[in-house]
Amino acid sequence: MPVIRFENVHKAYYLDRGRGSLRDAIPAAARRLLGRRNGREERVLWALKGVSFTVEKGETLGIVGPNGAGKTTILKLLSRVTRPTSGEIEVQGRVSALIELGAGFHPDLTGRENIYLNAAILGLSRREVEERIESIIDFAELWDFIDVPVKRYSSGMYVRLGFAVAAHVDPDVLLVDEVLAVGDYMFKDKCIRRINEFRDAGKSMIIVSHNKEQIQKLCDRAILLHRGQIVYAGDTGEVLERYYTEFAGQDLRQGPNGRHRREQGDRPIEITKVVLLDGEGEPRNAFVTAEPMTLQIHFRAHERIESPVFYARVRNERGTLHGTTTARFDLNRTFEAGEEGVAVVHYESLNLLTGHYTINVGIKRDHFSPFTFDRIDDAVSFSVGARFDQGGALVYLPHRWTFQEPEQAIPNAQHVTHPT
Amino acid sequence: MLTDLRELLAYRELLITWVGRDLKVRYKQSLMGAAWAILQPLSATIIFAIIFSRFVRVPTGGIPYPIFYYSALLPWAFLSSSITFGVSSLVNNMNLVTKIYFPREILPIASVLASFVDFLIASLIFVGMMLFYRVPVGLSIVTLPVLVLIQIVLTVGIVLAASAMNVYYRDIRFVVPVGLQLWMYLTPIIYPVTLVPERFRGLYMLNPMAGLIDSYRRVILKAQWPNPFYLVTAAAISLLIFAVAYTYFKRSEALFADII
Repeated sequence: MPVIRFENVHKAYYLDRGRGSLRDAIPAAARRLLGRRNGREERVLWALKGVSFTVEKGETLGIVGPNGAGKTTILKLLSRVTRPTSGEIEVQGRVSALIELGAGFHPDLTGRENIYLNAAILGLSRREVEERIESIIDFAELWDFIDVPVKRYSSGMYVRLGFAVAAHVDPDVLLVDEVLAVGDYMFKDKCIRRINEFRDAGKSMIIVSHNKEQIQKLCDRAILLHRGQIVYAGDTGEVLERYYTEFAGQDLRQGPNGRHRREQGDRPIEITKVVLLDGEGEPRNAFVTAEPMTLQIHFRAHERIESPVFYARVRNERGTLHGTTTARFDLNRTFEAGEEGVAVVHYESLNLLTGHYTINVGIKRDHFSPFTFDRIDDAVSFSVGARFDQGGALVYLPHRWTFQEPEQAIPNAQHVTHPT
Repeated sequence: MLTDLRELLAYRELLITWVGRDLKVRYKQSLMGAAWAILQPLSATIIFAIIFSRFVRVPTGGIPYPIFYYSALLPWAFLSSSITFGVSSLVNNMNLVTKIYFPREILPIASVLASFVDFLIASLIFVGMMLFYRVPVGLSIVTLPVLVLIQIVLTVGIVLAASAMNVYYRDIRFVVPVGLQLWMYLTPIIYPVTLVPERFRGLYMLNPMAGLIDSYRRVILKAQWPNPFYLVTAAAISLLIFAVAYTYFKRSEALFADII
């Protein structure tokens, strides 16, 4: 008897609803009554188109797929936040979601008050919370701060408390969505141990992650989702392989800004695929600060192109943090019509801190020319988790700390000595 | 609706915790805290008592002006603050509604119950006023809990409908203060029911708050039993509003997370 059963589930989002006001709704209703239509078709987004799968008791299912494939919609349906447009969903037992940690925390309430509140939202009774509160505080390692309003917490403390509460709900089904991309290194380890405990206790889990190793390690089976449909289901290793060979690079270019591309016929040289890899050459888009990262830009020339300039810009949501072009290194090569190639950026150390980043790539005629042969904004995205206490900083500067004796440290103004 | 009510019952601990949260947050944020709950109806009472005893003489049937007004303003303040806080209860907690499941009616119902706690606190002043004016209390006071219960059913119904509509039409909350103002003048708060002409009385009593306020005054100030016709009408309309509103709420609930 399966714990989770999805049967031909469809989910539509109506993009135009809920933006309304009475001021617009009343005239619109009047027009409908009079039998006049205002002609505009309602925009509908089909997030899921006929998805069916089951999860047995004690089984862990991984869901992979490019952004916008419908992974988060599946989790939202399972946690009953939203309902399917058609199809059937059956879930046996209590569901807990490690999804939005700390959603529902109120900034003015203390950590302890928020534990009671959050646990009640997740379905625990007051008695159950009282039995577990010490263990929750221990897990979150917030002994000294538990009676402080959470608005004074750092983002790390916030996430720790959120995970601690969610991990103590004792669910029959656990939903995990990319949460392990946040928090510091040590805490992440602790979370993974906790998730393993759930698995060993025979609970069922569904895990959504971009982290290949996590999926590989935790899941018995996996499904590959693409544009709201299951394109492949089976053994975790096979699904991951398919995902990374067929989708990882290619599909990401259908990002929201893919429209910046020129018309098909207009591109004398064309970007065919953009892939993000880790130091070992494995496709990945979740990293830890100071790891190496490699970006591949696959391309095909349609005519003879003399020394095109490739660029890559790493951006956070506010702007470009780092840009690089092949012109900087005078990398010159001419490509013949029909020739294919791969331009590679080797980032030796990813000195970024916790966050989500995207990369814009493109090919230009030369460094100073505004003429772009082809470009893809937001071609790939990746997340970074920091191992360090970051204190609101933007980048990681490789460094070390020491103490010195005063006479050693104050340089004599007359005799400035240069460190060797 | 029965299964919905049963699920709500299963989540009663969350409801209680959430009421506690609402009160804590409200009182942590405002310096005045509980005093605000008392001051609001009290200040209105003072103003009305002065205007309607000195300038425009309203017949109260021998009841001192301050308690005549306070006895009506107290339940009215409960209704209006419930609606004012409740109408945006879903939209204000959208981060929760879009991420975690729980019966969504908990949010609007909790704002009604939090206002109810304010109402109880403000009632303490009223007890003092009753002692000061030596108002005799009769056996009919036993119907008071019934009156309060009917008012809660009515209030929850209105808040459920208003908060759900506010998800779809964000300008509902601008309509609310205007609606409350009009409603107040259609309710015997600044005047007694006896001022309403006999032939309009039946129509007038379709406003459930009219029957309730009149019953409060009879029970508390005059030691009389409520007019059974007024009371039954008020109870029936309140229940009807509640049933329709709750059904509407549960039907539109499915799309809250998609829309907010």
